[in-house]
Amino acid sequence: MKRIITLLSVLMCVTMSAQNVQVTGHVYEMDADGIAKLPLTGASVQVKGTRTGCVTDIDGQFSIQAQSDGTLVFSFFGFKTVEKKIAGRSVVDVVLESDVQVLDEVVAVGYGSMRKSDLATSISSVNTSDMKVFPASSASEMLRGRAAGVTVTSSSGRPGSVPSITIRGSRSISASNTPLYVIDGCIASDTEFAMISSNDIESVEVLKDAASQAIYGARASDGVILVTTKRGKSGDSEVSYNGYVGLQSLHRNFEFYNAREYIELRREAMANDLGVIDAKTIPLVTAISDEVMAGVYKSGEYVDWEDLMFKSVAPYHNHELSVRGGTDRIKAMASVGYFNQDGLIKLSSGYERLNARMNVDFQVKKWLKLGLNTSFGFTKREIENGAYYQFITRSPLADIYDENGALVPYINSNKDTNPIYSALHDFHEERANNTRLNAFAELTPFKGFVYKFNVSYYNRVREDGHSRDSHYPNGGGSTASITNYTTSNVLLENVVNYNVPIRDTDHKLNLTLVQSVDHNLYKTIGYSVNNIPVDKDWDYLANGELTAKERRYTENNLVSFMARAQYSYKDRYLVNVAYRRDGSSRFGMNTKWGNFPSIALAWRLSQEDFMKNVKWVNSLKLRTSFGIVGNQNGIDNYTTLGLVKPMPGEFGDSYYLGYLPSTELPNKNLRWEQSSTFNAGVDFTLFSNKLNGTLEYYNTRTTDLLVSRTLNAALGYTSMLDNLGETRTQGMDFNLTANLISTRDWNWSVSANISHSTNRIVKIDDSVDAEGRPMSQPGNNWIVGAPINIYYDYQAVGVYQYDDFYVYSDGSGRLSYELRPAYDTDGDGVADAPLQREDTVEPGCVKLRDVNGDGKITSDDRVVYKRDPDMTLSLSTNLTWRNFDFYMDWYAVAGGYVLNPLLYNGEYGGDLKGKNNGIKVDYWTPYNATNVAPRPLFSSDIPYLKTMAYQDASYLRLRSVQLGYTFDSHLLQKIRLSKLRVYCTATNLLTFTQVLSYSPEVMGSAYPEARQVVLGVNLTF
Amino acid sequence: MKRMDLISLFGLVALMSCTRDLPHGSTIDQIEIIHREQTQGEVVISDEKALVTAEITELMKTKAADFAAAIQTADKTLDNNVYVYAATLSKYTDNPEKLAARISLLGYTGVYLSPGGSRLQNVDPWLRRFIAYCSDRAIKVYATYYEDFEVFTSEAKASECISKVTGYNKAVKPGERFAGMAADLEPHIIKSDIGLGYVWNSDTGYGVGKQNDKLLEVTLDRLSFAHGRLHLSGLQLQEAIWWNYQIKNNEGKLSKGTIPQFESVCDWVCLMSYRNSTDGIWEISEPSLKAATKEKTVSICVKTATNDEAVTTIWYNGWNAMISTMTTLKSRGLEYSGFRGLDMFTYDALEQMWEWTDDKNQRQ
Repeated sequence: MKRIITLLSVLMCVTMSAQNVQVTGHVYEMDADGIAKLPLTGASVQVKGTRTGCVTDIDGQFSIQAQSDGTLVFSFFGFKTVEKKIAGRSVVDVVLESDVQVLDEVVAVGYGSMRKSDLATSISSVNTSDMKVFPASSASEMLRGRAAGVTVTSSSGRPGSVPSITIRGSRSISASNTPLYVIDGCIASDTEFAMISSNDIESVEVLKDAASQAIYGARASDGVILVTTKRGKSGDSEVSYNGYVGLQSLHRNFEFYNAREYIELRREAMANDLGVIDAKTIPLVTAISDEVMAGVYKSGEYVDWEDLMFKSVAPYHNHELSVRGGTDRIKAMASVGYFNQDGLIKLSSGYERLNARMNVDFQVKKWLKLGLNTSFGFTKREIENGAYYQFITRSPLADIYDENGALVPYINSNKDTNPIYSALHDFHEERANNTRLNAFAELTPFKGFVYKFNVSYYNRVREDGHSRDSHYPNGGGSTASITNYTTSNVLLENVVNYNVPIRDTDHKLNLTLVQSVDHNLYKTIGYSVNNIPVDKDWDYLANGELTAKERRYTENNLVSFMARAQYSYKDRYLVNVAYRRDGSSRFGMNTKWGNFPSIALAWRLSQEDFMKNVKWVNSLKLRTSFGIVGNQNGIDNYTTLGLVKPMPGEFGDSYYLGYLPSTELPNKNLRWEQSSTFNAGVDFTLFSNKLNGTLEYYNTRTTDLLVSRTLNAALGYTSMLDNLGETRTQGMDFNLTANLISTRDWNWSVSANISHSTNRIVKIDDSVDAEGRPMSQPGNNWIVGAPINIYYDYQAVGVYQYDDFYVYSDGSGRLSYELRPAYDTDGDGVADAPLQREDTVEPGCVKLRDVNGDGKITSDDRVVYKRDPDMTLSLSTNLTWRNFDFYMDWYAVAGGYVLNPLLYNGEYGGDLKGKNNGIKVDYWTPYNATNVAPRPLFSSDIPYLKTMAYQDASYLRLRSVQLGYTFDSHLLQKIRLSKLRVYCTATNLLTFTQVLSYSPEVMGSAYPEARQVVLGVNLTF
Repeated sequence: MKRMDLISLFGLVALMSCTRDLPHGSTIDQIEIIHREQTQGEVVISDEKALVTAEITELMKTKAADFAAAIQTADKTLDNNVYVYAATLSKYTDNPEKLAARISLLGYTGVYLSPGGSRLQNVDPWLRRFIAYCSDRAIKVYATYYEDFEVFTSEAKASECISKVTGYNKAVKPGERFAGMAADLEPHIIKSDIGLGYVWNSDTGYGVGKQNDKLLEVTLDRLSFAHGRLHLSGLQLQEAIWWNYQIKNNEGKLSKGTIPQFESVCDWVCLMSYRNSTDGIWEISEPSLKAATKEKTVSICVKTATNDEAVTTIWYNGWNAMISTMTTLKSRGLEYSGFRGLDMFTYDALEQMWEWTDDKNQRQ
């Protein structure tokens, strides 16, 4: 092997040889003690200014031809690049030094930053360049698969929609599990994060364990996402433009019934209804039984609803322009971005966004720095008619135009509405303005001590207008509504950061103290009217007749104190202790203040003497942490004070509005949900920094879950929100990056993130059964011992077949069925009793599993279908060859179930009644004895059809593929550009899943997810 | 090699997401069908047991025997049906078997039951119990659920009505099923436009091709629609008709609504011969019996209910007169092959008369 590498090395050098002298030598890396030299295999050696180069062999040796006055450039991933003049020598040996900038980047930790190697807590730093490959409208979607433990779920593909993010699974059963977003140190919302321009993002860190989260106290139990935006830098100004144009298209993994198949379905459903075996005996006219449909059938001009409803391709484009620059005293970054996405739906669907951001740092004095971060965003979203999805259910035998070619409101004799006509007469638009002003002053009165005063104001105003004109089907006249939503936040922070000077440099201590006040306001005002005199939109609302009005106004405050100490000894032993105390206006009178302590310990094993001889280990760190954090999301602003409800009344001719206490008893002891998390992990870098990764285990116990306690109505109250429930969440996160090839021409790296998470409900409230065990609440799908997010239902095991019955004929040809015995009730080893069911079953009905084996189908036979996935995986690879770069990203979700409405719900055509169209399934007929779906039934719902709609939600997707080309810098210099790269990206090209839908995560009426192809350019000068 | 491992990992995930389809079962062509004798129509519950279930007095027992003899022949060749409506259902909410037993003791072989859409939709246990008991007493039950005016204008509505019944039948055991539907499409009571563009007019609406004729044509079409659908599932269709249709046809004032036309779209008709005397009833019934071309397709329905003018009901004549009327109608009817039997509108009123302790309830 050694010989082969040497030979290859020599051959490569020979093939790329120039003239003059033959230079040989060795490339070494510094040993752990910084003295000894270790040979570095695979390092790149290049003659500067030429394409001549080679790589070192297994002994770190190289041989290359170069001009005697030339310069050799030595480089290797994870090490600082070194240039050596040959100066006529024939032997050049070099020692490469580890590049801390690469291997030990500085990461944000909240209220400060630190070297990654010094972290004792669990913080994932996202590779933002990989993240930005995906051309999405929201940064949230870009985060998918980029960090272990972070799960991104899209419930809609509508332009401008914001996916939900959970970090390390669910913990709460009634409150949201949304993480806390912090952008440039300011508390933000998922909306603000989603609309941030990707080009503005410098770094994203995810705080995953309680020790890292505890500094954010009562809002941090669902994890924290820290975003840092780009800032100005001194030196030459840099202008960069990133933009792309793309096309979206629809894709699906199912078929609709065509006209012939639809009639067959209808016929089969009617045959089943009428007790007929052979559906072909049902006359066609009976099967259609609709004059309009019959007419269309005769004409042969069927309707392709999907084609009518969707564009074949929908364009979208994004443009981001930024300028960075500054001097030693003033640095600034300014950017502007514009994103425009047409919806796939033909009518009233699209999204536009305009962003602007400016970050300025002004070093007024050596001890005083002022800063200003501002951002502005405007979004406009056209929202499709809410009933657009009815196209799924509409029969191809439909008449959608009148004799003049105009669309008609109803498509058949049954008066089924025409979804295109409805969409034409429905207008829904949402406009929002977001403004963030953040100013800060940093005082450094003496070395190591920084006091920062931070003030931030955020305001978001969203206007939601919706109107339907007088032609809207079943509308009863023109209607309009408008609602304004205002969200604002003021944050005041005093932050002290002190690197305590200790004479013995083996000891390092950093202290952070924070005091903050956070004020949030949310208000809405809205009006709805009928009968606008002319068919105009909501701007003419004042001319209509008022039907409803709405006003909400709600505020909350949070006052916090936080202290954190980060200590290290000899860079080997790391301790991080934090304590936060939050006072929230949402908490009950007796529990206003919450305490959130944490501790984290880490041991950098690789710094120990006994590890020095383990050459293949570059760094190894063991860490563990424990902390307590809270979740106040489940408590509305005034719940603990007791709410009143309006009670209108009439006295004589006068109308009065009074108020009565609500039926919910205020709980003065109500407090945050509390999560205690133990975390243990190992960070490693191996094989000359070629392989690095993290493996972590966590176990979270969440107590005081908010549950509504039922009260005796005689008290005058029927319920009280209380801290009663408990859950457990545990799992593992694993990420691994392998830099497989690193040469002058070739670079190849592979990254993988794997997250495994499970959770279970320990108790819901104080109620216990006769044996003292906590009781479940099946009505809420809360089962003690089962995961938090579940379906609880019967389990289908196929379709009843003729073989399951004795089939009798009564002489007149009519068949009756008797289930064959399947249970041995008298213990003689012979089945003597059939399964008992409340309903009557016959061949073609849904067959259920008798889970408890008692011979009866009862509610005890319901089973748990876990909704959350067991595991998410992502695998991405970066490959560069000379000026070409290639990126590919696979994403997989394993485990979990989804209840697919397309397979059971009549609203989405899944009921197999034949009254509506739907997605094609292999249903049972007397002549097609399948087990996939039961026999269609026209008149009534198929019993237990829903149990056949639970599908394994696992999927594997080729999420993105990108091919780029960067132009040579010497060419670009001629046109005064410093960088020019063009690329093509395709998304969602392949998906492997059992879930029949437009997307494995987007169900039912939700807007379908698109497949995208974009062409883009990165340009810098 | 590492690359292969990663691909294998994702391949594993893909495999995890795929479950094996269960094998197909046998088709109808491949199974063994066990032929057995038809048991429908057999009396499973004896008269003695029915008497206990019916909870009737000795007097009622005697009156029931008299009534049964009046409407039935010795060899039980007639099909006699009685209308049962919601008022009766609510009276027997907890004991449908008792109602069924009482009806059987009066000698009826069929019930026109008005079940209501929600009972059908919900596969109401009351219905199941009532029909099961009726089956065990060899009584057929027909759903009176084809009567909505919307049936005239909407095929979807017509279809929905039929489907409600067939859907119910689908969900229950054979003995709990309806034997058919009893339609009550009465074009002659359409006095305002229901969407057809014309109404029944007793003064100016007659004439071949005129509005009354058109309404009858639509009625026959709606019945044909239901008849075809029901026969596919082995169910029968009865229609309640006005006695005057045939007479007006005989007079040349109508071309639609003859008994033969109804015979082609129904299994039999129930002639609403609502008069308060035996001769009066016979007089309006006989033209239809004469017109019948098939056997047992015309039932004479007499009325005991008091929901209309007194001249339309035999209630006020008393129990004994009713027995006499029924006996006479039976004997006259039997002279016609088209005569099917004597129907009654309604059971509720009949039961009240049955419970009277004297002839005309004068003691009350």
